[in-house]
Amino acid sequence: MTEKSSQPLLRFPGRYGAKQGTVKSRNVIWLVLPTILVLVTLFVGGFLFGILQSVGYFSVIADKEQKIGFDAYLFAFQNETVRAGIILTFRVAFLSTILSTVIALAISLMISRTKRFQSTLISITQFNIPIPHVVAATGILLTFSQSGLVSRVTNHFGITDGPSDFPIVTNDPFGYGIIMSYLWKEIPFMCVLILSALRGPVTNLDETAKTLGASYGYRLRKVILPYIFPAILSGTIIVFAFSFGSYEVPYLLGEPYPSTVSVVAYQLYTDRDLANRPTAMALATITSVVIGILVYVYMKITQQEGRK
Amino acid sequence: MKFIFRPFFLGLFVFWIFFPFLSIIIWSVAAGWRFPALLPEEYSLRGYEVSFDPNGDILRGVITSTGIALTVGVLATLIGSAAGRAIAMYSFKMKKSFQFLVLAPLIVPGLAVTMGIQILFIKYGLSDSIRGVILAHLIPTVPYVVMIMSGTFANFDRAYEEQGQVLGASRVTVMRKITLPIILPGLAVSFLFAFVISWSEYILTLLVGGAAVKTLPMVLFAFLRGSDLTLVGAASIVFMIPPLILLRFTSKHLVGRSSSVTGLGSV
Repeated sequence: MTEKSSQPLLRFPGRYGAKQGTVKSRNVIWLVLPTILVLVTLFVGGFLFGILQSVGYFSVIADKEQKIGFDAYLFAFQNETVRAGIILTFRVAFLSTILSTVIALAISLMISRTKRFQSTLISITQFNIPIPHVVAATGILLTFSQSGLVSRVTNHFGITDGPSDFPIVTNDPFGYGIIMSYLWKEIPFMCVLILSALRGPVTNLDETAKTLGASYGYRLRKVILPYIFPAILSGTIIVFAFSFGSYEVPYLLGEPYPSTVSVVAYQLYTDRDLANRPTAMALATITSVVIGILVYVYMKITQQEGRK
Repeated sequence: MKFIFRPFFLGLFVFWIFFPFLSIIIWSVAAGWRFPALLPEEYSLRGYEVSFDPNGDILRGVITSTGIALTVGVLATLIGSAAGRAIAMYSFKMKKSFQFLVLAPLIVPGLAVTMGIQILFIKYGLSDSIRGVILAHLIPTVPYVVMIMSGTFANFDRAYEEQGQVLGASRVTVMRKITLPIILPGLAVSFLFAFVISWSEYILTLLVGGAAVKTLPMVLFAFLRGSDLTLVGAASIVFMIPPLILLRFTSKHLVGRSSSVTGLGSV
């Protein structure tokens, strides 16, 4: 939906009045070519070369007879570290996505209803958007580890008795630390998406509904939520895909075992035993395909919901 | 009860955002901070002295990271904004496939793709080089720019450009005097995102750059493996200042009536 603040002075019907996004031009190839070059060579190329290496092509082992086959995929699923990693990865990705979406929605709606400090609160939601994930993980580690700041505070007030009495929530098997770090980064990210949607034309619609006597609950269900739904949808997809495949945070805040699939894949890739490389490639391919399928299914379901 | 509810949760949110910074800031100036103490027994600026040592890893990391992130920011903004304009303003063959190609890197992990392409980077001498790292950083950044700029160009009225042309302005003048000023907020946000993604990137740099390209995330990771938390704190502070400065100049375009982030909302 586009919002036009002012109309141009001249409007020629026909040629000039053409709708945005429908104009044909031969020169458009020059606009898209750089992006195509970058993404096809680097992204599609990387993806295809990953698949080829996973089935045994371009083997790094000086072996005259290359074995072509799907052994690496079998190895990947038989590997105990991988299996434990899959469970952890799904748990972390789902919990991070659901929690950050629900919390960000609640916070954004509260901010939009607040009159005092509203612009300050909006600035605060933006504040940690550009903070690197490595720094976020460092902050969570220094704050929530057994000898971290929170543990010092609870120890001081006699709630816990020393570091070992404080619950292990960083470098823990469940993934609390990883989830906290993602929530710290992704709640504000979702807030920025939702708040910018809330500031669009929906304010006028909401105002009209309010004048007509609709309650906040009714306006929320019938006006506001349907309008910001696309922004929430895109946000959840980006957050899910990121928390599923990211490396830095689970490496810093996770355990050596179980570790997320991305960490396991990188370990296999850099393993001294070069025979593990195809398995690493197989894991990378599986991860990409699984995320792709989940996002596709999610979009199909939400499209049907959106039509209701 | 109802009056307390909202301030309580918003206060909790603000606390949650700033609390992790607190430990980082305290550690960066702590000389020693043994467990039961709530605050360090002694303070020192050692962390920052090490950070700004001209021959130290941190300052060299800052220089390498700045060079890479600036280049990636400019390249990705140039490449992606052209495609953003194409998506928002033109119809062309295989447009759907092109949009799919742009969205895919936002969903597929960069690690998976870079592991696959590393073999080609080694073959063509791009591995262990800054050029290779810059190329790898284009994978996650260009799609963000395309999304942001397609949102910007969706609000752009072509008639402004056409009026300029009708009045006899050259293409360069139209670009400089009409198009650029209108899309400038979008360009600024695109550059912010591309710079920050490149600045923060760890695993792609490690895969492609190896030990040869030591950006700031690599330095911080090395400190995190050690036990000197004062250095970890100081390096973290140095690490987050440039992105925050950039945010300072672009924040007004992030959330606003003509927000540039709305493009991301159409993923």
